[in-house]
Amino acid sequence: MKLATRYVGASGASSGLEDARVAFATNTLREATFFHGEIAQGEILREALGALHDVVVGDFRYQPRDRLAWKAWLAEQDRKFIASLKTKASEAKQKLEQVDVRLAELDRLRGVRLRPFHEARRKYADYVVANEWELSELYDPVVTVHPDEVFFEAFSRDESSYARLSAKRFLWTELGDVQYGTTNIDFSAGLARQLDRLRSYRKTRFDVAPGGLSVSVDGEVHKEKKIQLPESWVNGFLQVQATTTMALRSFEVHPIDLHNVIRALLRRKARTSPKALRFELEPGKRVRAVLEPWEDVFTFSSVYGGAKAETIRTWGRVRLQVLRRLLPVARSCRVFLAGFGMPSFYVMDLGPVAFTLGLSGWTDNDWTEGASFELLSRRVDAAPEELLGLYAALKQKRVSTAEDLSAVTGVSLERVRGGLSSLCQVGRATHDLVGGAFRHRDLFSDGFTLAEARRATTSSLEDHKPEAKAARVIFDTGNVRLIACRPVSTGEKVSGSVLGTGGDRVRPQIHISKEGEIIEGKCSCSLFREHGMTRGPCEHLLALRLAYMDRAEGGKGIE
Amino acid sequence: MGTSHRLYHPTRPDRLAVVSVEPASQAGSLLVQVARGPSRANLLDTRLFGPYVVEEAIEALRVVLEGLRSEGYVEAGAAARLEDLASERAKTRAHAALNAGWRRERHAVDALLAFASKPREDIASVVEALGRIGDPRAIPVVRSEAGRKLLSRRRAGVEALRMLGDVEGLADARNQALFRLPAPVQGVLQSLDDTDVSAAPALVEVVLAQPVADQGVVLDTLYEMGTPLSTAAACQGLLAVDLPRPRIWRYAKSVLKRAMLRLDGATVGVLLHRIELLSRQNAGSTATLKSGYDGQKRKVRVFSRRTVDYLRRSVWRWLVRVARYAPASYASVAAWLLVPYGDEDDIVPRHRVPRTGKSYVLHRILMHRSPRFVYDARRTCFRWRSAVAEAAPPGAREEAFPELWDGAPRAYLTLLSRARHGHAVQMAVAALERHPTLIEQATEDELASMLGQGFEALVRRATEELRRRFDPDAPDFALLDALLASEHDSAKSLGLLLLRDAAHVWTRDPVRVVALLGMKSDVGREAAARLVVAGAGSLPPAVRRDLAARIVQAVTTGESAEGAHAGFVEVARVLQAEIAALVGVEAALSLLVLDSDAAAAVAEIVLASMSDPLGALGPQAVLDLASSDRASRRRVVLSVLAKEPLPDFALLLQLADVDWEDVRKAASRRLMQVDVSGFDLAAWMGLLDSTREEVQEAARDLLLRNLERVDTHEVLSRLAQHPSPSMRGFVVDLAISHLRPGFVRLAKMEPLFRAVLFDVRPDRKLRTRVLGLLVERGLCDGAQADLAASILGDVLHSATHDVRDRALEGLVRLQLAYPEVTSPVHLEGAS
Repeated sequence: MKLATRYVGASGASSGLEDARVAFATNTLREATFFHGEIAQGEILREALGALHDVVVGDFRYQPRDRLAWKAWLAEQDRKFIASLKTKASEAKQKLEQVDVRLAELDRLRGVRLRPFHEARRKYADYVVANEWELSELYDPVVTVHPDEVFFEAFSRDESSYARLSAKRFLWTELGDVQYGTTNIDFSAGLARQLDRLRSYRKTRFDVAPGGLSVSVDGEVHKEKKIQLPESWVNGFLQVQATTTMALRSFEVHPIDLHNVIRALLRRKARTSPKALRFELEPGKRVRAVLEPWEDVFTFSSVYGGAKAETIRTWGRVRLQVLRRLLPVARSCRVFLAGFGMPSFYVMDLGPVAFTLGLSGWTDNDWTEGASFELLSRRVDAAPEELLGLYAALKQKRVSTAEDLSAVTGVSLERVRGGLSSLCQVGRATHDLVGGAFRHRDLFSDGFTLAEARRATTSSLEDHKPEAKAARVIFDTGNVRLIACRPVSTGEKVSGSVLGTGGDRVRPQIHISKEGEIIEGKCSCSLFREHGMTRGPCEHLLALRLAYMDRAEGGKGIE
Repeated sequence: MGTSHRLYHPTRPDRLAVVSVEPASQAGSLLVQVARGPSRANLLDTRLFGPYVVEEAIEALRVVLEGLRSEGYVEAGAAARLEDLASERAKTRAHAALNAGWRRERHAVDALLAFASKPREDIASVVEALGRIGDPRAIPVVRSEAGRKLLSRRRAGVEALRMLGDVEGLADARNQALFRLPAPVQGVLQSLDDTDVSAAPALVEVVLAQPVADQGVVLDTLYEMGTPLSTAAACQGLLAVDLPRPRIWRYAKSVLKRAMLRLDGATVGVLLHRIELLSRQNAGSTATLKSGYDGQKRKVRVFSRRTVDYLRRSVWRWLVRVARYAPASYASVAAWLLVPYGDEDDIVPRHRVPRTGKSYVLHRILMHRSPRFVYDARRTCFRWRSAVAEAAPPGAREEAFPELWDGAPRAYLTLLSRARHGHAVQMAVAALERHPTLIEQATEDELASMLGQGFEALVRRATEELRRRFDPDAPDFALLDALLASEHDSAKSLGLLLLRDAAHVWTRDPVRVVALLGMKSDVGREAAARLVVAGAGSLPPAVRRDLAARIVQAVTTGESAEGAHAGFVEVARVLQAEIAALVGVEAALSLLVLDSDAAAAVAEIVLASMSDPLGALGPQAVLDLASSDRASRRRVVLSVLAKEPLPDFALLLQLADVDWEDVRKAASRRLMQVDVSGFDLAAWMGLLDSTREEVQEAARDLLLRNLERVDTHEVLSRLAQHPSPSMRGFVVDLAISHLRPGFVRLAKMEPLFRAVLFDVRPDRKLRTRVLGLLVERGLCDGAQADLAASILGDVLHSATHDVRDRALEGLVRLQLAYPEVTSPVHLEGAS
C-alpha cells in the first residue's frame, strides 16, 4: 500500500541560551492531532527518543560483503602468475618484478593523491544516499495522543523490531492545547542529533503539531513523501497485537544485567552457529541468560516467578543494542518471552517514560514472514454494528479494558474481546502490553465505516490464513477427536487425534486458557517438528481448539 | 605508358588490332605500335609510328585509335557482349549488361534499350548498366523502372536515375519515397532541413520508434531518397537496428547494394563492418517470409553464414571493378571501407590465422598483394602460408592496387585522420614518406585528428604542419577550439601551446576572452583563465571594466555543465574591484538565488569586498546559505566569517551547529576568538552543549582558559547531562578537580556517573576515575555515602571484574565508614 505523508513544517529541536523547543511536524493529510507541553525531565525523553530513532533506522539484516575489489585483486594475481609461467628468461622475470614493484609504488602514490577526492566522493555518496533513503524508504513513526499518555510507535527498516515509546502524563509540567488522535510525524535522519540538546535544566517546550519547528515560507510543503508501505509493515503492527495478547513468560531484569549482555554481544561476534540468547528459567531461581556459542552465562539479579521450568532460545540478539542508551536512565526492565524462537519484548521503565522493544523470533524472520501468531488467540466475531459501536466507544474513551467496554456497550465480554481483536487486526486499536488495556489508534487516515466493519468481521482469519481455513475444514468434516481434557489452574490441557488435510493422522496437544487462547501446543505433524510454534499454530492444533471450544459451548459434531 | 588497347572487327579477316605504346631505343622517346591479324597469336601486319616525346605519343595514340574505330573496329569483347545480351540464359544476359555498364559502352545502349522494352527477370541489371553508361536516351525507361513496386527493379531504376543525373526523375522518385514512409517519419523529415546532417539522430529516434518489422523498409526508403539528411539517418539507423532480424536483414542488403551502386564507400564500409562483426556472434535464424518477387511465403534462412560470406566477397569483387573501371575512385572508396575497422576487430592469432585474417575486406585491401597469405574459401578467412611467412618483409607494399593509392594520395589523409586500425594507419604513415607535401592538403580538423593517432612520426608531422599554419599575431580561433576540444591529449597540448603563443592578442579582447572562458573544453577554459589572470595586471582599466561587465553577464546565464563557468570565476577574482563597483548588494543576493556555482562565487567576491557583509546579508540569510547543500553558497558564508568584525555569538553558535563540516569548522575557529568576558552561564552552556565535536573541542579549550570566570559547580551540574561520550572525560576531570563538597553537588553529577558506568563501550580509565571519585566523596559524609552506595550497588553485578571489584571494595569501605548506609553488601563481623 502507498503511504502518503505531507508535512508543512519540519521536525526539529532548537536550543537557545535559556530555553529549548522540540517540535514534531505531523502529517497534514491525516486527522488533526496535536499536543503542546513542557517537559520536566528532558534528558530521559532525549534518551528514549534516541532509542526510538535507532529502531527506526535500524536494519540488522544480513548484508553480504562486497567482494568485487577482492575478486579483481585475485584475478590480477592469477594473471600475473600465468604471465610469470610464460616468462621463461630470468632477465625478463627480473624486469617484470621491478616493474611490479614500481607499479605498486605508483599505485600507492596515486592512492595518496586521490585520497581527498575519494573522501569527498564518499561523503557526497553518503549524503545523497541518506537524503534519498530518508525520502523514499524511512517509514515515519506513528504518534498517538491520549489523555494519559502520548505514545510513539515504529518499526525498524528490516521490520524485525517494534518500538513503542510512551510518555506518561507526569512527564509534562504544563500542558497546552491537546487534540487526541493518531498521526505520522516527520522523523528525519538529522533529528536524533538535534534531540541530543535536550536537557532538564533548560525549559523545554514539546510540540506535536502540523507546523513542527519551522514552517516553510509562503506555506510551501516542507516535505512530501510517498512511500510504498509494504504489506508486511502493516501486518507487522497487527502481529505485535497478537503477540502481546498471548500468555507470555515474564521476569524483571536489572539494567546492569542487560548492560552485561549487550556489552558481551558488542565485544565479539559469533562466527559459528548456534547464535541464540538462551534464557534458562527455573521457578524460584535467578534467571540465567546464556550467550551461544560461547556458553557465556549471565545470572540475573531477579528471580523467576513462573510456575514451570523452561529454556527459551531467542535469536537476533544483536538488536538489543538499541537499548544501550536507555541503560543509565532505566530503573528496571521487564522481559516478556513468547517461547522458543518466538517474539520477545523488553519493556524499559524510565520513570515517566516507558520504552517497549519488541523483537521478532530472529532478524530475517520479520514480524509477518510466515508467522501466524494471531491464530493463537480465539476470536468470537462481533456483528458489524457491534464492532462499529465498540470502535466508537473506544474512540471516545481512548483507553479502556474489555470489561469496561462490555459494560458500556452492553455486548458480551466474549464478543467484546473478539471485536477488540478484530479492531486490532484492522489497525483501529492497540493492546498495551504494560497496562493490559486496549487503546484507540487509527493506523491509517481513513475513517472506520460500517462497510469496513463488515469486512473486518466477515473476512475472518479463515479467509486469510490457510492454517485456519484447513482447521475449519477438518472440524467441519469431523476429522478431529478429543481424547482427554485435564483442568489446570490456567485453563485446560487437551489432547486429541486429527486427520489432517494431507491425509495423515496426528496427535495434537494444547494448553488452552479459559478465553480459548492457546498458551502452549505440541503436535506430531511434520510442520511442527520443523518449525515448532515459531510460525504460529499448525492446522491440527487449531482444529483441536475448535473441537474443544465447540464442546465447551455445548455444540455438536464432536465424538 | 606500356598500356595496350585491343580492338575487334566483326567482318574483316584481320579481326584483331592491338595498339600499344612501347619505349624507343632513344632514351625518353616512345613508339606507337599497331599490330593486326586474324588472332592474338597471329598478328601479321605490324606498323610503328614515332619516335615521339610523351605528349606527342599520347596524341598519336588517340589518332590511331580513332582511325581504327572509323574503320569499324570496336573494343574487344564488346561484340561478344552484344551477342550475349541476346542469349537465352538470363545469367549470361545479366553479366553482359553489367559488364557493358561498367565499361560504359555507349554502343550497347541501343541493344540494352531494346532489351529493356521486353519484361525480363534480369531487367535490373540492364537498368543498372544503362545508368552507368549515362546515355540520356535511357531516361524514360529508367524513370518507369524507378516507379516500380518491386524493390529490386525500383532500386535499380532510382540508382540509375542518380547515375544519369536526371534531376527531375530523382525528385519524382524522392516524392514517391516520401509518401511511402510512415506518417511520423514523414512529418519529422518534412520539418527538418534536408542538408542538415546533424539532425539525423532525431530522425533515427523516430525510425526506431516504429514497429521493428517496419524499421528496415523505412531505412531503405530513407537511403533511396538520397538527401544528405536521409542518407546519414539511414546509415546511423542501420547501426542501431537489429540487423540479423527477419524483415530488417533484406533491407540492410538492399542498402548495401544501393551504396555500391553509388560508390558510397562510407556506407558500404559501415554496413559491411557491422555485418562482419555480427556474423561472428550470430549464426542467423529461420523465418517464414513473403517474397517480394512472387509473393509466395517461404521458410528461409536469415543472416545465414552463406549469405554473409557472399556479401563480404561481393564487396571485394565490386571494389576490384571500381579499381579497374573507376580507378580514380578506388583509393577513396577503399579508405572509407577501412575507416570503421579498429584494432578490437582483430582476433587472437591461432591456427595460422593472423590478427586480420577474419576481417575479409580489410585484409584484401591491405594485404591482397602479399604472397604470405593463402585464402581459406571454406571459412572465408586468410591464413599464413607458413610459419616463416608470419613476419612481413621490410619495405614491401602488400596493399591491393598500390598505384591507385599513390595516384589519389588524398585518400591517405582520410586514413590518417579517421582510421582506427593500426595496420591501415601504418600504411598511410608510410605513404607520407612517398608524398612529403601531402600533409599540406589536410584540413585542420584532419590534422587535429592525426594528433590522436599513436604514431610518433605522424603526430610530429601534424604538429609541425599546424604550427606552420598558425599565426600567433592573427590566431585561427576555430583551429584553437578544434584542438582544445579534441579528445586526444597531444592535440590538446598543442592547442594549449598555441593558445599561450597567441595570448598577447586575445587577452586584450574582452569578447574573445569571454568566448574562450566559456568554451566547451575544460582544459582550454582553465588555460585561458590562467593566461587572463596572469596578464590581467597589465590590462588597461577600460578593458578590465568591460571584461568585468561581460563576466557578470556571462555568469547570470545558466551553466551548460557543472564547472562550465569556473574560468569566469577565476578571472572575476582578479577583477574584484571592478566587479564590486559593478554589482551592488541586491544584485549579489540575486546572484545567490541562481542555480549556478559561478554566480554564487561572483556574489562571494562582491560580498568579500564589502566592509560589513554580515550586516548586508542579515543573520537568517547567512544561516540559510550555511545550510545550503551547494558548496559555492556555503563558501560565501566562509568568506563572510573570515572577515572582521567577529559575528554575533548566537549566530556563531548556530553556524557551528549546521550540517556542513566546512561551515562548522570555520565557525568553531571563530568561536575561539570570542570575547568570553561578558559570558553568562547560559552562554557558556550554549557553547558547551553543542552536539558537534569541533564546537565541543573549542568550548572545552575556552572553558579551561576561563575557569576563573565561571561558576564551575553550575557548569558541572549541567554538563553532567551531556550525552556526548567525547565530553565525559573532560567533565569527569573537571569534577575531580573542581566539584565542591556536599551531597547536592554530587547528586547533580549522578547522570554523568551512570552514563560512564553503564556505557557499553566504556573508557576503562574514565570508569576507574568515576568509581574512585564516588568512593572518595562517599567517605565524606553519610548522605554522599548513600548516593555513592546506590550507584555502586547498581553496578555491583557488572560482568567486568574490574568494575565489580572496585564497586565491592568501595561499598565495603562505605559500609565500614557509615554502617547505616543502604547497600547490597552486608558486612558480618566487621568492627
